[in-house]
Amino acid sequence: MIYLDNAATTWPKPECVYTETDRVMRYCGGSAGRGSHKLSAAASECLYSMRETAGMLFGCEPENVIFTHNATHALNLAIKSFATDGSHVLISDLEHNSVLRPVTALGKMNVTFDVYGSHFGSAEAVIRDIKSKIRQNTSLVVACHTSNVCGITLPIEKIGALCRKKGIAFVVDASQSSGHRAVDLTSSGADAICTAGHKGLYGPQGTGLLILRGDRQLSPLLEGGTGINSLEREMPELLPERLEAGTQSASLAAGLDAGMKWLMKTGLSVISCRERELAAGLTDELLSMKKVRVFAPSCTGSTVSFNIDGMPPSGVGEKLDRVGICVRCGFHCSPLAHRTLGTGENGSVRVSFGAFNEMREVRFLRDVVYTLTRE
Amino acid sequence: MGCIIAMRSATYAEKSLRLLKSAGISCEKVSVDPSFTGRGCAFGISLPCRDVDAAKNVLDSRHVTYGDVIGGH
Repeated sequence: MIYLDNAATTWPKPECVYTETDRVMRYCGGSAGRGSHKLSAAASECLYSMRETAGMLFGCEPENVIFTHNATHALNLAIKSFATDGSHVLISDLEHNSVLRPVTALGKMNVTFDVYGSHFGSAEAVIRDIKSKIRQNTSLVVACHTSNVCGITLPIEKIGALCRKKGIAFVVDASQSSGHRAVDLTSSGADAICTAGHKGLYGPQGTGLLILRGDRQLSPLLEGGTGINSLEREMPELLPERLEAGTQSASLAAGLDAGMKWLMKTGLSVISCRERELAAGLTDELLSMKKVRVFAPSCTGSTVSFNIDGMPPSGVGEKLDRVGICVRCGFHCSPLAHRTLGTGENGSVRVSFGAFNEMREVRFLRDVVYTLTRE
Repeated sequence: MGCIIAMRSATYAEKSLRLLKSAGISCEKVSVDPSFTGRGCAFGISLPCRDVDAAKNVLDSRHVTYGDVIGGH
């Protein structure tokens, strides 16, 4: 099996992720932040350790690391707090449905939104576009750091600086960039960074992070038990408990912690260099094939999107699956990005690399794609 | 251990525990009797009363807010 769907979920995980998840489920099985018996304390330590590691990775204090179910959960928390009733929101033309659908749903609160262009990552063009679309009531700008379809990366530092100057909240969707490039709360100027734990951070599925500036207060999406102030009807004001109602999974947190530690030990740049090499190698091979179109080929990071003329992406995906190659075909939950790339009708075939892929897998994929172009 | 510094949340209790231990102060995380806070379940850091001032200095230096000190009177 050749797994090339790492933009959806990285797989396999580093061995330490399996080991830690299993160990904590077996031996630290209490509820984190509930009571003070030994198993509860052990679970609490797992949660806190994960926050500490994420704090090192994203440049914040551990209490500003909110443990979420996934990036969608984190984005909903941030967007639905920063987009106040009757305000205006700007989102990029690369956004995933995890951004597009929440801002659309906020229409019932009279929130309106506009889409700014990604301009293949050109900072000057992106900033010009955002400036032209900012209104008096713009409360929030959202930027997908790196597209999940094609690897275009937005200039978040420059967008962040503009937002701070204008007093507008700025949320970064770092689902595809965290673990691949440095994403820092301070340098990005973001009020919130939202990311998945199961992608570039190599954690288990069911994990995500909301990294929040210390002076920002969000409204909970869920209310419930937090292990503190239990006689009060309102959710506590302190982070992270305010945004973490209900029992948190210590084993998943431990797995995510192990993934992030592995990432830092291995070296983020080492992994991303290897992935870029694989993606660039595949891009070159695909560009040399007559019937293949590669989208945004100069922007590929660890993701390559392509189509074969005359074949629907789903058909290509089925044929690749039959020979043991796992890729993702269709719209990748990003209709905006596909409209931007001109693939709004059928989507594309997406190949996304992870830390454990090798060049021989690229060569095998190349040979299979070439065979398909000859059919 | 003698005294308990009440903490505002489980996370702050965990953070304080690590900060104090790394500063060489012997301590442990404990549940605080809900009757003390009047707000329900709470956590605290248990430590020898003689170390309370040093502990407060460590927490203040890292901007960790805490509640009252229980015991030691």
